[in-house]
Amino acid sequence: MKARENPFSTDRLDKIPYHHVKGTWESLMKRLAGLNYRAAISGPHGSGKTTLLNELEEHLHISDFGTKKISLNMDNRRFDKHSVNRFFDKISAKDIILFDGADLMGRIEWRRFKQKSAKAAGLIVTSHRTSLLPLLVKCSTTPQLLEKIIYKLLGEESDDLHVTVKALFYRHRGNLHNALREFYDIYASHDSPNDIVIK
Amino acid sequence: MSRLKLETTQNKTAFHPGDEISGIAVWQLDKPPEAIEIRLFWYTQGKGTQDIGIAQTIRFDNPVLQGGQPFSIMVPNGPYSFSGKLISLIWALELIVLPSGKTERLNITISPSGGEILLPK
Repeated sequence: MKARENPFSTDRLDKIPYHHVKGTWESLMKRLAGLNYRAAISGPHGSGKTTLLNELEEHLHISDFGTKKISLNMDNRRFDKHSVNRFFDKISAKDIILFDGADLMGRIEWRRFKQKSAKAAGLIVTSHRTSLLPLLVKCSTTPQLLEKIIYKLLGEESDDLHVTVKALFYRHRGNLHNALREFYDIYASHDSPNDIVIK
Repeated sequence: MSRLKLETTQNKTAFHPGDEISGIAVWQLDKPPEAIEIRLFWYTQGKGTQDIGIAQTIRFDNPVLQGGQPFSIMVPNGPYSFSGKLISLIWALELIVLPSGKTERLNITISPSGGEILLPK
């Protein structure tokens, strides 16, 4: 199958909205305001932390906040000193900082970052640890959530995959990101969706 | 309700490097836009991070609410349209209304043969 026809291509996965296991956007924004816009989104790898942070940005704009994003990941685990200073130079009192991957920062650097963030209207981070800031949401996944996402991507074609979806979920220990990437590979190795038989 | 339409001459969608893409952009909008842009660009689709490259942008400031604009763009030398298992490179023409960001897109192919190059399996 051509990459552009693959239902599990990155651009299609990026369009899947965050699924609230508990509550709604309204209750989430209320809780966030209660935490003075300083909070953490935690959860294991591939559980939707970054998706939620990205969608939160739109909701903060609706509430008249500005947002400034910054991120660390396994490929870029450190900021150089100047880039952090340049980042904070651009922050105004109406901005909320959205920091993806905050737990990759060292403890001393994190303390400094947190202090500097006092000039902003808020600081929301994603992290595998829950100790960085008060918890806003703990993201989690279920086989049913993976099934829902698969259904959104495949429609009725996904009915035949029920057992496989569960198996993939457990094989990837609930990491939906990795499970969906495996689905990409399965589809990539077939010429037509009709040829796909998954056991 | 807003309406956008992007048409190439004779509805051609396959082009060679160095060709001219001509056509017309037509719009009917609810609010006066700041500008209308026609872009020729490529993007990737597949397993990895999506890339994008803009080859040319034609901008029309303060356009009327309802109008049309003929355009002509020279096709660049590359990259060519191609598809493999992991990545596809797709060329497109896009009509964009600013600042609303409403768009109309028309996918095209650019290569020496005019068609999409298929990478070996």
